[in-house]
Amino acid sequence: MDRTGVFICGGCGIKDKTDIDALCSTTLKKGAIIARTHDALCSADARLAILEELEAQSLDSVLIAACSVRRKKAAFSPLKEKAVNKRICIREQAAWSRDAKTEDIQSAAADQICMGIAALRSEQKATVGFVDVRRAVLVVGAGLCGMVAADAIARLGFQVYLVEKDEIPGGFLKRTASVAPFRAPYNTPAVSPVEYWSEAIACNRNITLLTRTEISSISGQPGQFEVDVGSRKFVVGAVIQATGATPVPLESLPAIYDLNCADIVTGADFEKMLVNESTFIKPSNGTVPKNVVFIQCAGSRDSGQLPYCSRECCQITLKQIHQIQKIMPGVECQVIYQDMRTTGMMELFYSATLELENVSMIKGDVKRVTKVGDQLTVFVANTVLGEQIHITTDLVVAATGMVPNAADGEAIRAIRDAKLTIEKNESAEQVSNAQERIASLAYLDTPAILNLDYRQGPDLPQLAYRFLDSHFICFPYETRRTGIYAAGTVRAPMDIAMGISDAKGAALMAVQCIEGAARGESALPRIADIETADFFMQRCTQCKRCTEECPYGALNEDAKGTPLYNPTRCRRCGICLGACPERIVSFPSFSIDTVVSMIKAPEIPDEFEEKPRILVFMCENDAAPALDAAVQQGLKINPWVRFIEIRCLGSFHNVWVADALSHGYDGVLLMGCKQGDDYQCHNIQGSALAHTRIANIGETLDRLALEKDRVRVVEVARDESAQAVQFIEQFTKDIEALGPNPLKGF
Amino acid sequence: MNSENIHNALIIDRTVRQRLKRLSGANASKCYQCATCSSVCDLSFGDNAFPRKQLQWAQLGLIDKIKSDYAIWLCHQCNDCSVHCPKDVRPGDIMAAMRALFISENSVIRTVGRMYERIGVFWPLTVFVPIVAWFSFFLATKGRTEFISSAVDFKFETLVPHWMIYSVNIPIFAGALIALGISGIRAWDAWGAPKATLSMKLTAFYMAILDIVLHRKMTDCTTAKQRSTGHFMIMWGFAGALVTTTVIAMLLFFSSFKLPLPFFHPLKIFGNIAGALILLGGIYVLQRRWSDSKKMGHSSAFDNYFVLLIFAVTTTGFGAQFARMANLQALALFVYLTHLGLVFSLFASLPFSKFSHMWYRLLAVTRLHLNSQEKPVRLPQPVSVND
Ligand code: SF4
Ligand code: SF4
Ligand code: SF4
Ligand code: SF4
Repeated sequence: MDRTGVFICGGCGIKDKTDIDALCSTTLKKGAIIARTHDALCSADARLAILEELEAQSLDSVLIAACSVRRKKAAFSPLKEKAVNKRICIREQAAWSRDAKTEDIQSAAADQICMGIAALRSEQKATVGFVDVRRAVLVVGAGLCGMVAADAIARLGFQVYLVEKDEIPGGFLKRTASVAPFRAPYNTPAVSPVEYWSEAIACNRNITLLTRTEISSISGQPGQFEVDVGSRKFVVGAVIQATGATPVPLESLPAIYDLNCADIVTGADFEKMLVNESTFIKPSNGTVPKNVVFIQCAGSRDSGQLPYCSRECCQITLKQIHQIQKIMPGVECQVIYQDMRTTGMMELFYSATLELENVSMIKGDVKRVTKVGDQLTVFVANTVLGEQIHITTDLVVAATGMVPNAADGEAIRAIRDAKLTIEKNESAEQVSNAQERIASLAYLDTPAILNLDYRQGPDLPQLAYRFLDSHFICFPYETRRTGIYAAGTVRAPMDIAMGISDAKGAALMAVQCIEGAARGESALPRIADIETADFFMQRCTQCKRCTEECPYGALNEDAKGTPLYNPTRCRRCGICLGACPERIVSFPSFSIDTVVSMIKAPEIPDEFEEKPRILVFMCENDAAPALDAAVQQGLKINPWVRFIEIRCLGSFHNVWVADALSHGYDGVLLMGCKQGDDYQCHNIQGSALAHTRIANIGETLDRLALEKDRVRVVEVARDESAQAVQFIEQFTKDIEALGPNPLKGF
Repeated sequence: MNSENIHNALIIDRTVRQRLKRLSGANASKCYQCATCSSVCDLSFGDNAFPRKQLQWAQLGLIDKIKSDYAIWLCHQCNDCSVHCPKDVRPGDIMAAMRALFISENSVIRTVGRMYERIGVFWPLTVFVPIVAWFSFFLATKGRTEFISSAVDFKFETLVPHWMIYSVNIPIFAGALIALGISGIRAWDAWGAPKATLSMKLTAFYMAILDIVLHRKMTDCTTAKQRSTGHFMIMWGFAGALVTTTVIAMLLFFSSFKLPLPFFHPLKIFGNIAGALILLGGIYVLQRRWSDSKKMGHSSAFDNYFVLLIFAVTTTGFGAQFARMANLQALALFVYLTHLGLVFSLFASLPFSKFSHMWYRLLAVTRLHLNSQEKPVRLPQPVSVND
């Protein structure tokens, strides 16, 4: 871009804190064609003025220097159609945030603007890559969620293929007479919604139900997935996995249960005993029980192998009590619980259950369940009284939890790789490592469900406890494979009401993804981004870094290991850009060069004492908005700092550290999201990758004879505004203590 | 965990919860242990968690805990807790039911205790059998003609000689007193009284009597204030009637005292005032209870039986007196015999019905004062509740 016009906003107090005329002349010196200012750049007449200048000066790009890029989006986005446009923040990142001399504010604003001009210099114009999409969705699993999702999608006019491996739809709820209430007034069990939804899908012409069917393979990318189910092949635009969960069987209960006794049953077994809604009997001797003890969290949470709460068992127990009290009103029901997790509206159901005759709830930990004659004795410790109690009963119902019906694609792939290594038998060490790996992953070696033809493995990745990884906080149904969504208990423990809303959410995401792909736009988080990654293949060394690090499985590999880019799978996170040692990945508006030009744009003062310079790279998703918020709340930022916003900390390329330090910055701070099991990174591994990359940078710094403390990575959550400012403050102090960058002035 | 622990574990008795529910109409199971009741209850100190802990006993059916707790007798059912309980558990009513259960469990003859516990079913037995018995007794000794003969100088004494009363109602009263005494000793032992000298015990007893006579605690009530007034009247009326009866019995026995007394005889006036107090108090209590059961507490058969019985004894007493004065001899005799039957029922119910509450409460308050003589706390600190 070489005809850039710069528009500087004077509103929101910017012109009181800066000398706008001086800023204008600086920009002209830096090569802008024109520099204009306006008292409210976000106003309609300012927009008209900009458009006029665009015409008059035949500009090819526009730099808006105003508020944070996250503000006033609607006011500036119409400009996109006319010219490449870039926004630079001089309000939050300069005028408002520097509690300093005018001179410092002025230089901060000027530097940020210079960075913008420099970036535009090396930017390319993006071209839209339209994709020919098929408006159809594959829904895997015809349980409640699958059926609801299929119905929602079909009603939007899309074609749905609903695949179920069982003979009839219904899933887990298929064999229950009633369920916990999922709509008002929430006080009595509801009839199972399965029948309603089965009919709904049967009547819908847009839905093709394929029972007794499993997926043989899915290949391609959003908009054009090719699905093979053995009996037939078809193309869909998106996929929803709603494979549900399975209750933990009795055998997996911990040893405190005397499993020799037939009168201990799981909640799911008991459901079968209740299905006819008629008198049930003790399995051991066929007599009618006089009392039933329900044990909550059996084998779950602190007491067993499922460390999490399945969220459903408490409600199911309450529902079963209602059934018992209806069928056999004299039967005494006792529930032993740690805490009844009947959240939200389920409180009403809980209260209604306590209104029934012959029901009582006992808080405590079950320590042993043993057989005594014809009966069972439940020994409970840690009761509210602080004493232990003993309950004799005819039947024990252990409310066990649910395990998601999911396969871990990455683990399956890792096992497959390890097996290949063993076959190749190159070195004894490799083989034994591979064997170890197989052993450690053995519990995840399950048959694949989706059979994705993806480099990263045949199924979706999992996070904790075998639930499918979904972006829990921001985009709950979004998985780590673009265009494939997870809904229902396969992604998180949930009850019926949540499951229904989950299914509808995933359905809308699937539709949105297909429509986005049709317009050549990215899915979340860079929604509506039309840029795609460009791989300069001539220089690719087949190192496989990008294919390994791409969090969305956008890159497949050919036999040699050359990356094969699937544009509609790509979310434009830029992690491949940060990964590639050959620096061959670029986006029209974001490349190694654009950032290098930004780094080099500001002039670094020679003297350290007065004006050290610190460069902060921050993730546009969390760290940057957190800092915006800090400034909007009135917090101040050190005047020595300059900012560059990047797509994700994972898109940070180590070469930028060397560039920054050799240009004379005294320190480089990277601010990204929380990593780990409860990661908050929008691109899942971005922040974690940045940590690893920076940890490996020591060598480069040694070569430059620099302290590695000049580079730091920190984690900031979106709501940790004060913390973000604090991190910057601490870093500037530490840099001050280190002294000036010895390369300054070279 | 070893098997020893298991043997120490408390045993759940499912019937207890049902019995309490029958007695109170309230369901302890609804309690979710929020302790709102404890924070409003005057009797809750430190970590004794009263009455929340008692509610947990009720929920679990820990009868032994209920039997060895005197604190349940300190509750005067002010119902502050019932009004504030967010789950509408009505802990005040459940406390009352726990006391009824205590009376039943602690009675000398358990079967009779159980019968009184379900007095709503058995009351025709306990009321009509003594009345019928009195009529039979009369017919057997005097014959049917007595009902129609009209003596000029009509006196009850001539028709129902005092020996008849002495031979039936006095022994049952004495027996009831003994039974109550034994129950009281059992309760005292179950509560595990602290070591104390006799004089300490007497002081405590004296203080307890003062507390109760003056209704010290009850007047503190906010929610069930009116009950204090009604209770006050019944209690004083009852005491008055008891004193009158005793004095007259003494006089009859030891002097040449003759009945009936003229209407303006001081003893007569005293007795009638006492009777009137009982009537008024009874009406007041029942009326309040039926009109606002949340504030005043649920009217259980167990409670009502006692109030109604006193009420019936008093009414028939007055009825007999007025019929005699109007010289309606057959009616007077009929009502008088009924009265004697009811008096029998009342005496017989002493160790088994709500009647016994005055004794247990007196002991419990004594026990409390004994405690506070030892150390300066108003309530014992039972096993701390660990939650
Ligand atoms: S930009 Fe992100 S999603 Fe796209 S290929 Fe690169 S790493 Fe994968
Ligand atoms: S994951 Fe972290 S580094 Fe990546 S986009 Fe999100 S906040 Fe930024
Ligand atoms: S206030 Fe009610 S629910 Fe709360 S602890 Fe007391 S009785 Fe239980
Ligand atoms: S009725 Fe009054 S004294 Fe009795 S437990 Fe409730 S608040 Fe306490």
